[in-house]
Amino acid sequence: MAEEMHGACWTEDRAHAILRSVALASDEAEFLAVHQPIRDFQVSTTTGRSIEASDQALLADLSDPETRYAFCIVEGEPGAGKSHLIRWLDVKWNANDLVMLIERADGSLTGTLRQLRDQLGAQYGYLFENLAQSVEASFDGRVKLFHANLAASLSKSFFETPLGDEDWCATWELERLIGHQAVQEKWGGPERILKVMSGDGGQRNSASASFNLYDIADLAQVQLAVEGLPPKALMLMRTLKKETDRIAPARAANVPAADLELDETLEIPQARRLLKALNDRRNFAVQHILGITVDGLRDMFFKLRKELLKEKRRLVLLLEDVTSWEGIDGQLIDSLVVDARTRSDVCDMISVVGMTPLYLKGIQGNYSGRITHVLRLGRVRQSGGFQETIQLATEESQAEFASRYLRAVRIDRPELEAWHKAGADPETVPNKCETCVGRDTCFAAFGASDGIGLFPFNRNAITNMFEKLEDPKGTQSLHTPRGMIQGVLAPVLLYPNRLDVGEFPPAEIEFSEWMPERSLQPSGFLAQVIYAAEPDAGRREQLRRLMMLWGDRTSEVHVSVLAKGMRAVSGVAEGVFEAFRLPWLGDGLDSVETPASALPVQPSSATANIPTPEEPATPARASPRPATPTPVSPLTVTTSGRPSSAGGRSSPTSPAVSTTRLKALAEQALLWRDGKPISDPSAWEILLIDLMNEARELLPEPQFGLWERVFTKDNVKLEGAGRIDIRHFVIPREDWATRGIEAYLSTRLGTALPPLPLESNRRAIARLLRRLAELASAQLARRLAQDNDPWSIDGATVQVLLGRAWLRGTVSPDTPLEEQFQELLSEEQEARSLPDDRVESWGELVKATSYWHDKLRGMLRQSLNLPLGSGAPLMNAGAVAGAMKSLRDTMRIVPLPAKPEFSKGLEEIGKLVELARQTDGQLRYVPERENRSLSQRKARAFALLRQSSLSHHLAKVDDALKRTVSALVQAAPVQYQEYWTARDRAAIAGLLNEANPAWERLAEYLISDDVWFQGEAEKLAHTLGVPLASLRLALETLEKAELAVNAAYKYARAFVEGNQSAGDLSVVRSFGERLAAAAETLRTKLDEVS
Amino acid sequence: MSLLSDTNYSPQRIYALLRLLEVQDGQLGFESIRTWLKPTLRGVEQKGSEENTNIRQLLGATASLGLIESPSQNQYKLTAPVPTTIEAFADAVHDRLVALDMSHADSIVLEAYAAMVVLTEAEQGTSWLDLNAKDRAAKINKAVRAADTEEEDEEKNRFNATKSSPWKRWMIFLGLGVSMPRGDFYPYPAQRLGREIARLRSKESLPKALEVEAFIGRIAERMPYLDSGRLFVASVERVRLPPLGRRVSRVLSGTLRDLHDDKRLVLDAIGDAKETYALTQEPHSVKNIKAVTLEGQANNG
Repeated sequence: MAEEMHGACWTEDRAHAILRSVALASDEAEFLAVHQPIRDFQVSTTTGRSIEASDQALLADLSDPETRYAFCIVEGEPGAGKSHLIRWLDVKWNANDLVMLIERADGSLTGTLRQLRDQLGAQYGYLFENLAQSVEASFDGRVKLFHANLAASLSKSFFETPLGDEDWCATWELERLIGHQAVQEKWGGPERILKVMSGDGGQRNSASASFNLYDIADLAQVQLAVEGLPPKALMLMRTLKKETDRIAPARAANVPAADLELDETLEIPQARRLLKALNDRRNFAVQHILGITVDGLRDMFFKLRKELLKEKRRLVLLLEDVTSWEGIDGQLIDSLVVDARTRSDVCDMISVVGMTPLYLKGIQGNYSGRITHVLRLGRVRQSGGFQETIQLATEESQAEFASRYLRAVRIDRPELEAWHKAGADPETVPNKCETCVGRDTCFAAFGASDGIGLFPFNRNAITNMFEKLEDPKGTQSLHTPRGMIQGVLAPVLLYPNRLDVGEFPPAEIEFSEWMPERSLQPSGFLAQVIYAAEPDAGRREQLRRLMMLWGDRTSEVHVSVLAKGMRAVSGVAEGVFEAFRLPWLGDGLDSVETPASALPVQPSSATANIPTPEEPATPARASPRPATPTPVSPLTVTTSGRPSSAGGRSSPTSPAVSTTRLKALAEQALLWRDGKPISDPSAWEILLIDLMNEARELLPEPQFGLWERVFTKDNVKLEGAGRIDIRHFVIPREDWATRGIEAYLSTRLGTALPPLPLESNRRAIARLLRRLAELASAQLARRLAQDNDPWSIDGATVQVLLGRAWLRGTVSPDTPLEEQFQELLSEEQEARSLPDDRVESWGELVKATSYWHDKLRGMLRQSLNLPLGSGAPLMNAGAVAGAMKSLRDTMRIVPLPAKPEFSKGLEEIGKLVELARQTDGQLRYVPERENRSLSQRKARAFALLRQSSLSHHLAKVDDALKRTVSALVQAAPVQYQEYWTARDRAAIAGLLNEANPAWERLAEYLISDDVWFQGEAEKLAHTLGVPLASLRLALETLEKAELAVNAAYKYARAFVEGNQSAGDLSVVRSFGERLAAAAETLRTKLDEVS
Repeated sequence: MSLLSDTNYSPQRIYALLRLLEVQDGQLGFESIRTWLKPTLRGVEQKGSEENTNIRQLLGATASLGLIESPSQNQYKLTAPVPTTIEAFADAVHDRLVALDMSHADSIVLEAYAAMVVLTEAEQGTSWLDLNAKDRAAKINKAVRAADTEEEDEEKNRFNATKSSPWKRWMIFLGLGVSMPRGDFYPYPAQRLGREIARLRSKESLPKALEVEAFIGRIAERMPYLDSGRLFVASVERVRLPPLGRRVSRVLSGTLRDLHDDKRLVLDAIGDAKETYALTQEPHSVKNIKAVTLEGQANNG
């Protein structure tokens, strides 16, 4: 470029002067300098004359001397330019008429009346004196008066001319309800109305001073505090509560109350009726406070018009905002619609009144016949919501509007005054750009509109900033001239010194609550570009603002060449970077190396619908390559959308996250990067689990089961997203994570990207997954206490289960290991080892694992799974075979963590450690104890058998007992009975049959020598091989036999000793006969019992 | 029999088999192996076929790696010590594959990866990975050494879509890439490079920083599918890609930058143009490297 780019070409003072957003507040010269002809608005008339949609045509029509009556409504959203147009009419109106311009000023009714008084001037000021006798009361006092007036006005016969709802008011006893002491104290509705009427501290902004549905909701809330209400009033309160509860969600979402009132589908009949009743009485109550009589304002205007008739002058009333008249607006409008053509005692009158679409809707029914002109500065949007301001509907018109302000702020005050004095010809407004030496450079970089440089904006900046404006309260549209001035021009133009010190775009842009944070968050790739180009954090922020607002808003970051040959990154010309003293971001974005002779591959027929990679771009490429299409996501994206791959591992099915929610998450991800909190936690939970499952595929071992326990949807969190404890896996707010998540979301959304961001995204995802996998491994190790001394969870599990299987006798330690493996993974079968007949520690260990074995088995099966696609999974037996062998060899458990902390979802692992520790402490002693116990039992049985077989021995016992019992019926009947019971069981078990295998096995065991064992496992196997049931039964029978014989012997002996006589054999014979009879009887009884 | 001709197995299954054999004194019969790996579980519903194809293929792939042999029918015996961790197993497999002569059937495993690195260079990005599996495999096949005899049958190509499934599993297992969400395998050798640098340093005494040329030379020895490596060079010739000269390939550039950003190593950029290698152009603070410091200050978490 031949010319140097200039610095700031305006001053802060001039910017302040020009940018006074309230149209009526600025100086006339400044006002005219920025005036943009208003055109293309919608206009309708009832005068029979159609007019062109331009400010000039409107002025010509209204100010035409032939016009005797006009009631012109200028309708537009707050800030849409109503005031500007009305002000312009005032400036341009002829001098013959009495033109009274009533500004919005502070928005208060009293302020408005004050203006009226001032406008009347010395000549007509006396008319005002009788109008308002303001009550000498404080604000609180006026609120009380307003409240009391309101309550009184709800009584049945209050108004001379009934309003029509008196019966309804009486039915519900509204006078007593509204006048109730508690309602007066706790209901803030009247106070709010008066505040708005008082201008709301200058922030009224066309807000309506009418009761709204939220006031009714607040009134209904007072219900609980109100005592002593008449039953009907109480019933109404309850109904109101029910009805207004329905609008609570809308209120929480900042939906304007007016929108709800217009929503006819909302069924809140009683609330609507009360609302109407209150608003119908509002003006009366207010006027009473102001001291204005019902006809006061109307009378004043009549008198004024009568005076003007005498002077043959017309009265022209230009009212910026009718809402500032609320309270007496009814009287006002009544005055404006008095048509001099229908009566001869008043002058002609032209009124132009600014009002919002909502207000107009409210009065149209009553005054439609009197309205002569309706100008609509906005038009209804298809998407609903606030009207769109026609004047700024296009990017071109936005640039044109802004350029007039830019031209104006560059004009020195004396030059401006000179122009004004010279007639303020709009065609000759001084334009500094015409004489600027840096003009070409400036225009090439920043652009121009009709010869006016857009510096320090460019077209993108004007449009982007304007369109991104958003009222956080949702109470107004900011896509208005006022929004443009306050939200776009002011934050930039008020800080020219920042340009001089290299701090442009100024940070103040972001201070405005109208500029949503999310609109200034660059994509991950753009952030990467900025980060790479600029090391200084503050200047990175400048670059961020620059690219997000001065850029072209495409998702791509690319270099292009502008019409004048200047390079640009995403629409930001290189000259802009230079002017703002920021580094050029295009390096590396526009250079592409020469490709190799790519080997052509003939696409197969299967590729017909698959995007083909484009030919590599040439180094001369200057415009972005069209995005390489990536698969477009369906309406809902379920999981990662990818079938299982590595290792055949598949992500668990997760609930769907809709595309809409994914998009919202993508926006939140950018905010999260900057330290802001996230919302929609449930969607994040699903997404993060998907992400973790992607990362899991990089782990050499999948850790099935354990992974799911550690990385639950509740446990995986983004840094800063809520409280955390030991269980949580926190994804840090670091570059790899923020960039990676943004890229991941972009991929999930199927966003089409050009090659460079696409490559960047893919690598960002790869890096994210790698880092997540590393962190996940560390988290697993930490939570599973494997970080310091690794221990094998599978090994411990298999050992606990194996020990249990051994002790239950379902598998023996000397069985081949693979069969033991098969057994311990199978569903448990009935115990075969009679654990209750074993030593105490045997039974204890079995009992300890009784509740947990099934859970541990399930965990083990899951953990050892080695799936691959849909084929049969194999088991990772190699992971546990060593532990099984080790247990068999040593009866010891694998090393366990010393002081494990397994809680918060890992209770099963904690229990495993506890059981493993118990198994380790007891199992190795069990074989010896049991073996000793068995030896003792064996020795006892052997002794009791007295070298006989069981059947042989019992035959002798039976014989002895029979003889005894036949002689002595009362000899040991209990023991005898017990013996026979045991004996029968032994017989059933086959132990009394010497040819029965049960007896043979037992006999073999009983006569076998003691065995020497190689290890405890062998010993345990041996004990499991002992015919324990037979031994127990035999021993029990033998013991019972001993008891019975001993008892019978003792009895017989005692009997013989007690009945001895010296040498009389007849006594002995007699005893023998009795004994025989008794024995027979006993036998019979025993038979019956058995 | 080769690593890619048997498709129904995974590296994790091979390691499971090896550990099993190790515990069983290094040798097992087929039936025992089957019982261990595919146990019949009472009361548990088991999916998949009753056939033992997957075990046969597992044994085939393990034998192809030279880790087991079959001294007699249906007997399988370990031929080498089993690495103590699965990560060490990955290292061992990587070492073996790196050491293979290009005439070995399994040489295709790393040749295909080298082709992927070279094709990414030739195509100036990974967009070509968006081809369907068949075309992608065909493209890789054309970038590797040609088969001894040209076959019409695609299935007989050295690399094809069928072989790409086990191949991807190996690549991920060896730390050479990731499975891209909604995409396919993406070459990203960061994990392997990190391990190889660590192994290099543990085996020999190296200066803290290596000149870039020396660094790339060392890496090329251990990872011959990357810049200057023999497999890379072979693929470059096959694809007729102009020599990189003093440029670092796209795949290696990205990997080095990420490891630098992760503080696993430090890319030293200060030096004359003659002394430096240029990284692929992209928005990053490091554009050229003169030396590589092999230590980072990373905290791995």
